[in-house]
Amino acid sequence: MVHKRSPLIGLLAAFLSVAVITGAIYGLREVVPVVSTGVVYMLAVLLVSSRWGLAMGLLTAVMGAAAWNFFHIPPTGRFTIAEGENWVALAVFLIAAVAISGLAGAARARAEEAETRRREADLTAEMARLLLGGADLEESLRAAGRRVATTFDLPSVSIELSWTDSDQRRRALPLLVEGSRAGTVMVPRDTDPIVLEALQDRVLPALETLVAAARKRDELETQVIETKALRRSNVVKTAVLRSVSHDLRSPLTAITTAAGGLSSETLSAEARAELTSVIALESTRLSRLVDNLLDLSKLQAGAVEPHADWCSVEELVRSAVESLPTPPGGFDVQIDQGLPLLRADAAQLERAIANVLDNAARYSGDESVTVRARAAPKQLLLRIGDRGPGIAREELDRIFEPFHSPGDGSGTGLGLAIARGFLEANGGLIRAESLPGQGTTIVLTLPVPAEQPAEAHAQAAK
Amino acid sequence: MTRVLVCDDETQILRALRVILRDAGFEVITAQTAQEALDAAALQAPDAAILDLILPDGNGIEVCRSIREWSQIPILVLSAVGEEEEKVRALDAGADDYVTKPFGPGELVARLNAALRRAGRAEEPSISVDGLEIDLAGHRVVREGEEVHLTPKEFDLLRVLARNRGRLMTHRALLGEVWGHAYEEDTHTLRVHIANLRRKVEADPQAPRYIRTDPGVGYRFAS
Repeated sequence: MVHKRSPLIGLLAAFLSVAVITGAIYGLREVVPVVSTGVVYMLAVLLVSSRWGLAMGLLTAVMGAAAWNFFHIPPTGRFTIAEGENWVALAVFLIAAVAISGLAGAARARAEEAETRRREADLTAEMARLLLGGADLEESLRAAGRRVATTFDLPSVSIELSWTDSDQRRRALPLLVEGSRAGTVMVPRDTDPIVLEALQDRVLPALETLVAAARKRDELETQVIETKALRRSNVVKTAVLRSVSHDLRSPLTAITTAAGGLSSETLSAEARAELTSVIALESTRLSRLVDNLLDLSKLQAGAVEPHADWCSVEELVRSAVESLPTPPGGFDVQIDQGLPLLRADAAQLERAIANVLDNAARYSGDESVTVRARAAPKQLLLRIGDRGPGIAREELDRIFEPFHSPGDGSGTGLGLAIARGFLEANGGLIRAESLPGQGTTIVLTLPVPAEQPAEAHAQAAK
Repeated sequence: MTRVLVCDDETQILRALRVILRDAGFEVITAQTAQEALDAAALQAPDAAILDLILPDGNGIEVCRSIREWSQIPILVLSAVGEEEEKVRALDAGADDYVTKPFGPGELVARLNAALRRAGRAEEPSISVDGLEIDLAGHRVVREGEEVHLTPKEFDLLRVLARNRGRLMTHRALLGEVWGHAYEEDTHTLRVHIANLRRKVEADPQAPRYIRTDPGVGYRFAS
């Protein structure tokens, strides 16, 4: 930071300025008495001492006095002085020159000190910005190290949050935070002692305070994130409880009510049959819900191990359709001929497809649920569409989250989450496309192995 | 034949209720959404309504409030554990009673009949319930032949409860009718007056026969 001004250049400047002034005085001698011309050398003294300090200023003063004496004070060409008044003039000149050198040198030193402090203050401010504003403390420390190196003109400075010892090339300066060692500042071994002192006296304490503040901030940030996560998980838990209790209670209410009604003796055979069918339907629904809950907990525990085998998408879709009650509009299935075989857990994929179909049927009203399968490079696409109300763009991803239901109480909020779980466990993907008001299409992407089994493929092609 | 409107979004619950209520001698009309319920209530003039609290396009509370704007038919709401707040709001919005899911059909039919009886009652100058005589016009109360002295507020409270006997009155409804709407949140006042009233009219205030508590919701006078 302290730009040392070369003494050689100072010497040269002193010599040149004295020479120029000596020459100029030849002209001045025509108009003013010689005794008065000495004051012009003060310019040289002022110039040199303000830039190169007191010592160089004094040297300039002596050189100026000598030159003045030799070239201008009679007898010229010699270092002797004839007249007494010229002695006095020379002495006054020297004293004044020394005084000016001193003042200018001191002013220069103060200016330099002020400049140094300003640079250090800039450095501290910059480090504060880096350490307190940055997201990652380690990254910020690297940047701060580079900044310190630039300020002190050092080849490299690294600030580490670990304990490192001095080595052959580098000197370790410990960084203390709250009384214990929190890290190390590594500077080159040949760092100037003045720079070292500035670092230790002023830069390190600032750095220590900043690291302490940054660590505190990180701690608080972590706490905030944890608190938020906790609150969110509580919200999710409440949603899960509400959803499960609603989904369990609805079939249970229907069953209890219907079962209670059966005990009436006045009931007609027809009414009795209707109550019995309510009980049967709702029991199936309840058991499907329990299956779904078990599936979901298995998926969430990562306990789903697909038993991969060759299977055809046509068979998967057919058995999924058969496992469901037929919706009012029915299922409209169109599967391309000669589709490649998949290698996956057939039972799991069937459940995934059935869940998506069931979900689509719920929103389809009297319209049919469309099922389309076609081949794409290295994969197979299964599109299941409904003509329901559609889904808003921001909801599209959330429909695959467990217990996310549109809030009308109709869905279990589990089916699509389970479908995604099984699909992903088998290397597939699921996504939703929707235009509000025009229905929703759920797209299942299934990976197709490059090598198809020869015999099975032949069979499938038949 | 008494016509009952039943509104629930669950098809199977609706089917079961239709069979059971028909068997109990009611004519049943059904609805699956709040809008359908309001339309049916307006067009088919039911004598009573049974509403599920949670409906796809709204809730039973709003349906209660809308029906109450023009009709005094008895309204029962179906609520579930965990829906206490909604239940109280539905009662405040004008519902007469609630039945908690899952419920036995016997209970539902009994509550429905009680509500219908209440609705059919004419204005009465005096009420007599199981040994307690309340002379509404003369402001006198006689229990087992002995006159009971009540403060004016205690009498007002007893009168409101007795005129709605069998019906669950929420804290809010009682406070509003007896003390005025500014006091609707002042449940402590209500609790103190109920305790005083019980001491005076009940044989055993610890096991009240006339004024029953529905915890967290309100009080019901025995019918």
